[in-house]
Amino acid sequence: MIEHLPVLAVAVSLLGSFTVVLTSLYTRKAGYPLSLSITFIQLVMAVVILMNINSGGAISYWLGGWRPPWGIEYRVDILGAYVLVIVTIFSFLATVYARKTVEKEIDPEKQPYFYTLWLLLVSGMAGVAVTGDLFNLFVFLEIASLATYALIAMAGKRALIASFNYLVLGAVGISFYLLGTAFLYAATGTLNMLDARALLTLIYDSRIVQLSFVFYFIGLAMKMALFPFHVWQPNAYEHSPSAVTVIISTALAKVNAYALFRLIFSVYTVKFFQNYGTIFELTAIVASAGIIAGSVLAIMERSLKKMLAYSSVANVGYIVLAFTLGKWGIYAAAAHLLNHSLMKAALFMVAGGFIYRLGVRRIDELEGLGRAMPLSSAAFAMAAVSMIGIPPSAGFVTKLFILLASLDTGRFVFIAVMIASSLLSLVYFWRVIEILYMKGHRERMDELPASMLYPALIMGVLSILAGILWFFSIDILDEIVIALGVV
Amino acid sequence: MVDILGYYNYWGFVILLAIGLYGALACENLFKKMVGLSIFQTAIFLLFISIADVGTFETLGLKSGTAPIFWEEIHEYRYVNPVPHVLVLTGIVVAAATLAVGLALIIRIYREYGTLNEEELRWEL
Amino acid sequence: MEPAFALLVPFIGSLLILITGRYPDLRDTISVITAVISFLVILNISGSSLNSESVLFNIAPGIDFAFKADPLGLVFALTSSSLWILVSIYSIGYMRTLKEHAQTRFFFCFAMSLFSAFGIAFAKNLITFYIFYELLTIFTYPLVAHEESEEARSAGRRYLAYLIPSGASLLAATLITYWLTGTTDFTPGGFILGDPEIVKLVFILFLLGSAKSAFMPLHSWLPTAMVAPAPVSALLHAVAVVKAGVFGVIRIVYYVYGVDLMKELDLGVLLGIVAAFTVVMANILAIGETNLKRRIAYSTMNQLSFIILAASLLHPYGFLASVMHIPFHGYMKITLFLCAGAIAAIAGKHEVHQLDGLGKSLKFTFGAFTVGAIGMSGLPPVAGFISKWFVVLTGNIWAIAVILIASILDVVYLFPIVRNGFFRDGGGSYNELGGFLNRYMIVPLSITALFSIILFMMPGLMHISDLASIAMQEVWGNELP
Repeated sequence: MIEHLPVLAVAVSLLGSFTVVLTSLYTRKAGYPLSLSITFIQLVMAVVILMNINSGGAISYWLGGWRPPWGIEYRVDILGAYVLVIVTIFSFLATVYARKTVEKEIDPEKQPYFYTLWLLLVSGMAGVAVTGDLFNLFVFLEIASLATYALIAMAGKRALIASFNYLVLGAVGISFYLLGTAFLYAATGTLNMLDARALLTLIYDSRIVQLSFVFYFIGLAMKMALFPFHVWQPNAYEHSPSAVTVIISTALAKVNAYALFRLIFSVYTVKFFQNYGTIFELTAIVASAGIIAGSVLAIMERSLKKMLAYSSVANVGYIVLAFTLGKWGIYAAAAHLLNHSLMKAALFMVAGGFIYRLGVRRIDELEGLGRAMPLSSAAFAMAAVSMIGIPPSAGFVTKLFILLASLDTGRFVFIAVMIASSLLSLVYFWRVIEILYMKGHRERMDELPASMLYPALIMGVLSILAGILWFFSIDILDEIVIALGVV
Repeated sequence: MVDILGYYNYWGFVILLAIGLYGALACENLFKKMVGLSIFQTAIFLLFISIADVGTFETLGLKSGTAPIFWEEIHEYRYVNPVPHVLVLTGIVVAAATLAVGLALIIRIYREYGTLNEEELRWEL
Repeated sequence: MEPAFALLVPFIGSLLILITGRYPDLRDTISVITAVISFLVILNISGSSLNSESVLFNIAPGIDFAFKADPLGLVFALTSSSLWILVSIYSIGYMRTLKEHAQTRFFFCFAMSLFSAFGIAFAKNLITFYIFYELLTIFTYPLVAHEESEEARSAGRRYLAYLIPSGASLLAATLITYWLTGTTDFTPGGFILGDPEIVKLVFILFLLGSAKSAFMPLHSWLPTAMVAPAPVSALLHAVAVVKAGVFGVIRIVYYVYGVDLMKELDLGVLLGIVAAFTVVMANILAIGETNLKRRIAYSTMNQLSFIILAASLLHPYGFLASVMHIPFHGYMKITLFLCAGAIAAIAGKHEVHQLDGLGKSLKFTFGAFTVGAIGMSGLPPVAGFISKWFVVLTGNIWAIAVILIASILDVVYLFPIVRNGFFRDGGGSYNELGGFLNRYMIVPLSITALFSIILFMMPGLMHISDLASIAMQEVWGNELP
């Protein structure tokens, strides 16, 4: 049974999305319960997979029974399982959160289609996490992206333009990924990641191989909004339906980062980058520029969701920077995949909640909400404190690992980058906290509906607690590092 | 000279790629952007098809496990790797889907704002 | 008992405060009870389980999240926890008299600040120390900006603008130390080693990281933070925050660098110059200050830098002076602040020139203020004399000269308040003990004034002098002169 789980984890939501369309012929109400139960089943599957993978091992599933490397292989190792769990957790929570916002923001006639696309997005993301095939990864990325374009556009008006801009850049990005695949295929004649890894060891100095990585990097950088390819992201986050912002800022952004993670450490491997240090150096410089630029842009931003979007730009920079920093860097990157999702989920859920309840989007309109809606604001504040990297929060763990990594690899300049960015994030997050709690007065009002409040609150509390929990469950990170064969 | 011209399909790929990228990113009209995007993706398909042509049977030999496509010419067997063709088929489907979503968005944008000019739409954001 | 218990009590207490926020009486009772239990736990640790440890979990190879009840930390913890009892009683009176808003947030953050302070006191290594150091900053912010006026917000912003970058500097120093030595456990006599240039640089980073001790030029957050309610000022100046700063300096000088290394690299001199400059400058600024609370704030900067100065002498008596001045200053300064707060709450007066003649009706308040002023100036029979005397015993001419100047200046800016209060006319008449709530304020400040005198007579109260001398023996070992 276990060996079938990877494909089932993708298939249930794929089938689910078609089921929602079919049920929409009879009822419009089926979308939400179906999505909720399907994402929950996926979450259970993901957890079962994670618990059944011991270090170094992997679950391999041959699609259609064709032997890899000729057939498509779904291969879930500890890193893939970990990302699958992240994807499913946040998909599930975003689904819980979606109900009320969708009722309010989406035209009733279109709600079934919303959930159709929603499940399509989830299966695309799950597919990326489980696949062991480079071209298959492209297909899943594209499934997720196409669903996202449509989901964003469902908010109408300005979301249409934001969605179109995202579509153009996203499609160019994904085409670059395809271009990278073409070059890699030309060099190795295989699409299987494991096979490519073995074949590449002989031809690290081939120009084609180097070029293929550059294309992969550009393509995925566009997808995950790494500076300077982030231009689509703030508007897309700002104008899309609240629930969509939550899922794309947590699960989808992490899936794109994971694709690069996978390529760097499982396909090209660290040895390739040791031979061609310049590629790594450039990557680190781009990432550092992104960290600083994202933070500065966030400081200048007046809209809450856009500010959070720019903060995501900076945080994607953290993850990519961490890739280049050796063993501790992998700890940092893997931990931040989860940590950043926790924090951003809480932040975007509350930001969406403020829009839902009051229609406020600008930061200076949030005056006095700290006491008017104490629990929602508390969730926001906890996640914000974690984003700043105050110990012992989740954000601090990432910061600590990256700082250790920079020391370990002797690249002290990144200590300065990390500290600068943490101080900049203090400026833009504390501004919000100050306005929430220390300014203005509002009468006590109803909290958000339970389906929106509790996911946000759980994420908020976890973004503080995860800092401590990480040190108890550091085994997962150890296993990821071992499985990637970096030590 | 023959070497340079002999790679005509690769030259085609590079030129189309450049045109497509320019169109997708620099054109102000949203529709032209979609056209550019399609050209860009087509260029990549051309690359896939080009690399599938691995060469003559004598010079390369058959790799085990790939199903070769034969056809008889005068004295040689021409070998073409089928996998990239399959990939391109999938790619075309994906590209068509992207195009469809993009065009649908264009229609909605035009109905909403009455223009497809990127500069004018930027003020709406 | 393990030191982790001392942290658990205020943590649970603060959660209970949050839960019972709707019932003010219950909430305030819990606040006081938590303070009492914390104090008893810490007193128990200092009596029976000195040097006990609790290791919670591993952070990175060689770094545990761990606590250790060592003598130095206990002195700080005892000071904070004993003062907390009085401040929490006082806060009830103060907050209710002024009908302050957001009292639940206030008491919650207060308890969490103490939680962080205990964490700092018992931290076994630099990382744990850093974690609580940052927590203290975060939980004191809502207290500093409590008034929610534009002035309070800007004070809060300045507070963070100084302390968070300073915390970042501390983190950088900590990690470089870890990188150099592979450990961050505090060791009496120091453990850091490596290239002298790097070690010196790291010391500068540590020093920048100690902005909580409000030495110049990193001091301006402290006077501006005076917009906060009086109990918060007491917390900042006497109970937790700045004490954590100087405590950190002593930790770093004696438990990270050690006496020998400090002497070898001339870092003691560097530290001494910074401290001496602050001691004198703070007092000069205090003379020009007309707001009572801000004037006392400058006095705090002076006294804290006195602690750093004493520590920088790298002499056993200097060490004793600095360690013992933590509780002594705590009791004396809290007296002054509680007096200032009581004057503000009862008479509504904030400026120094408004205080003429108030001593006639506010007898207890001004009496206590007099005790504090004597102590600040280092005169007997108040505890401040002891620490200054220890510094004289070190025989360091420069230090003695600085302290002499500082004491004279102390007299110049504190005693006129006492004189004008008792002997000039005006100010009107107030019923000091009238009203139930006033007594909540008058009783604690009388007790702290009383204790300032008792500590002079019995420095061994709450094991303080014993703990200080044990710490001294730890640091100097057999080389004690």
